[in-house]
Amino acid sequence: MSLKRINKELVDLGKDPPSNCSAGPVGDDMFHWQATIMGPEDSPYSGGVFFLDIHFPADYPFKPPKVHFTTRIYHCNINSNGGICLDILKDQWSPALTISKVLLSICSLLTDPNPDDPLVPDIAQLLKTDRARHDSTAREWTSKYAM
Amino acid sequence: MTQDSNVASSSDDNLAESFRLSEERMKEIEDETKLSPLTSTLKPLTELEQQYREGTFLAGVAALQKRYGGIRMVRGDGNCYYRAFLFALAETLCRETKHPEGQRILTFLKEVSWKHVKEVGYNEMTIEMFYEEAVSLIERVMSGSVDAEALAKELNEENSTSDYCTWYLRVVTATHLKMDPQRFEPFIEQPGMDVAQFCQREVEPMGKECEQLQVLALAEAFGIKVRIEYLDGHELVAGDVTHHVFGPEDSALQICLLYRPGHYDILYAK
Repeated sequence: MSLKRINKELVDLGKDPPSNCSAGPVGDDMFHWQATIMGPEDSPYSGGVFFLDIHFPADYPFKPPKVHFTTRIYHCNINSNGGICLDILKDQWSPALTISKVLLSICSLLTDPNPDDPLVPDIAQLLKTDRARHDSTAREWTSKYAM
Repeated sequence: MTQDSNVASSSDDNLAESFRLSEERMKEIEDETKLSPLTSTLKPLTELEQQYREGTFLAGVAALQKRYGGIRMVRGDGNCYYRAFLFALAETLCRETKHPEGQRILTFLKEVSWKHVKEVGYNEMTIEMFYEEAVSLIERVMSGSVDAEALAKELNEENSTSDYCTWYLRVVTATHLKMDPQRFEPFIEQPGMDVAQFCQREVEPMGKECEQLQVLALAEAFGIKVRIEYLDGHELVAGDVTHHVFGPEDSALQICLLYRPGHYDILYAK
């Protein structure tokens, strides 16, 4: 069942790819994918290409996929291990969601960080107190790690 | 490096650690829950007596015993209402393949529910496997090719028919709410939440417990009478526990459930 669903998602991604994102299996293992997200234009991540690692659990789609950034990124909801704080990857996951929707939500998170539920409190703090300095650091990291 | 940034990075570590611990604790709770079957064997109602030593609960059990002989326990994983509904419905149609409501229910599931699911905007690709499992189950029980024992066994397999059909019942519930948002929105207890958000947060994710709104929606969608007996510690009224009926009163198919705070099990009338 999980494999059938993952295959369907792959076909669907090919037919109707989300803008600025791509995803697909790394090798022969359909449960291990890699994805890329282009930094959104209206964000300090613009121009960067960010890689993500995706692992589907054996009981997918009942359980959410495990998604993390492999490219370093300066973002209050993404930690130094690439872990992402996003509700739909935790208790708000449902089988009605797909990898495509997850990637779109991550794109939105890049445009609109959520400093009230931070994974990295000092970045959230800077975002709240000095947006310009926050954005300039984020741009620096983008050109250093994602270009 | 200043002292400030040291403090900041140690608080990051603490946050990551507490995040990891809470994930581990969640996993432990999940593993404990999995020790009990999805749906138990049919047990005599006297089982309940052993769980209560005294008071209104025990008096409630005594009152229930006048009308009910058996109980089937459902796993307490947050899906219990939907799973109890699924089991009771499938078992009823399995034991009585020519049930007067059988054909109507199959038509609802196969044609109407799928039409509505698409109308309210669900992505067919994400739902169709669950839909197909649910239709297949009801078709198989009604064809008489599955006996009650085989059904109970099948519905107790992990990550299989029971979970797939249970989730489709969540979609049917959400769809029923989304078909008539103006009617249901006033009943949403969470402030500022509309029907679409309510469904996304409280109905669609597996493991989310249900409130009366979901109970009502699923009963109405199927046109099945759901009678719920409340063993919730309240004083008996006229020597009996409180009950509520959801869905059409005149439906020829009734399922009976026992509610104990936060949980539903299946009851069997004498």
